[in-house]
Amino acid sequence: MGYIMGERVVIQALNLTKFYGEILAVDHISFEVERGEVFGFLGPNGAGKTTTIRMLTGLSKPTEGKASVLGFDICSEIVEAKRHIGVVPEISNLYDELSAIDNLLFMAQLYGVPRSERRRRAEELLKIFGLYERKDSFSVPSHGV
Amino acid sequence: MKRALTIAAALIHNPELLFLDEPTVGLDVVAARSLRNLISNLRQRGVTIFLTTHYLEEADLLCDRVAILVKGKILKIDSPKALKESTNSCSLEDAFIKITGLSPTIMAIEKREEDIMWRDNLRGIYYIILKDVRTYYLKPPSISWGIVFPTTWILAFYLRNPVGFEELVPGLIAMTILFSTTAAEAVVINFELRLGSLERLLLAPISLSSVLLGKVLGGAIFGLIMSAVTTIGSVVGLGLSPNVPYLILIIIPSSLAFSSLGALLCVSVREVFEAQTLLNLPRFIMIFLCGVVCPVSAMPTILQYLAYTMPLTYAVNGLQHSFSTASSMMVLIDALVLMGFFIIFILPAIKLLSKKFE
Repeated sequence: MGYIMGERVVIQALNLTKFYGEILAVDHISFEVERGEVFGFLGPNGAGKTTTIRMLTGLSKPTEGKASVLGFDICSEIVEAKRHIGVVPEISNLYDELSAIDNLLFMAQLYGVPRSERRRRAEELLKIFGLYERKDSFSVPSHGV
Repeated sequence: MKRALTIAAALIHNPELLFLDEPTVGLDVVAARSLRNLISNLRQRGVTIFLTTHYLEEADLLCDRVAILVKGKILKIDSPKALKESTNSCSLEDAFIKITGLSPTIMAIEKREEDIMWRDNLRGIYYIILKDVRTYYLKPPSISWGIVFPTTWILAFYLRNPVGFEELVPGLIAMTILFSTTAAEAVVINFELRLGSLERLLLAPISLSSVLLGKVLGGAIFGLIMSAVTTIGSVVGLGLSPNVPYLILIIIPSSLAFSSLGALLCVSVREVFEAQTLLNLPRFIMIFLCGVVCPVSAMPTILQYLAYTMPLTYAVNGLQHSFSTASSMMVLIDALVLMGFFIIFILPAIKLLSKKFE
């Protein structure tokens, strides 16, 4: 077990580096993110922001260096960490085939939300986001929150 | 709506750490403000937030600390206030511009051991199969290649010569398994690759092998259903009496072997149509070489050798045994060889898929 509740440091990166072929996308970055803070990665397009998120969420492996998320190593233990992390990508990756509520219920299933809580939790979120009235539809591209 | 729902989906399991990649890009002023309010609320509830942005005012409003990243290097990490003070700037943007000439800062870390989560993986596999059945199996590519094509072949053979059709039944069942499983894989894998939703699955606490295994098992189940329909139809229609345990012993590993073959080819391309085109190569070669239309033993020796390197040969062979009075040993050998093919195909498929996420 790597995960300790209430640990102060949530993300630690040391010399995290990513090459795509010859191109150096992320160059030996090191940082710590503390529990409860809002930590911003600022930079122009192509600075390596998304690459860093992809490495920290297990979608891409670092070429060099290491990092841990919630105490779990991102190379060997990322699956365990994923239980406790949420990711909002720049481009939506939901299922157009599923309605709003079904998308959320599917995610709840994948993340092991107890059966009795899935629907309540999904409906609660739909209400928070003002989507409850449209829960059975999924209008494809539209802007706005 | 899509953005809101994407955020809602990321919060469904009450995460304690939330990654947001350029959350306000493409949002209007009001929407961006309500998103910022949401982020503040989450922070108050103790959720740690890691966000990327190139809007500096946004970072100034939201972030406790920021890292300034340029060309893959961190130039500075501090609170927006400290950054402004240290550079004597009145906005974070000014500070950013001044800083983009400084040198990096470094810190330290360590790591820990592993834990097996087979239950998470099993659960993931189960729900991926369920979702695939619901969303994909009735899509046009799986219907046309998985259902219409084998049915048409069977009808064509039957109409041409109903006499002696029984002999063709094992081959046609095997062909049905081949086409339905591979067609299903092209749909469940390539639709998701193209939509980027496969990444969504990989963000869940499930290993990549389990995601692919879910896809392969789902395809195999589709193949089982299709072959059950073909088998029951021909057995009832022609009054045949196969050995049912033998049939099951062959159909299950055949479905697994062909489904994993499908997965192996599908993960190497992106679009559904590319996958279907690539799949036709082994499909048609095997139909002609593996005893579906003419017995392997009636072919030139060199083609016979070739036939025995292909899984369809063992499927046809095993099914023929199930319809005749063969020994259980022969059926068992075919089943084992088919399981061998399953392993030979699934391992490189997992490897290829993980290459896509390196």
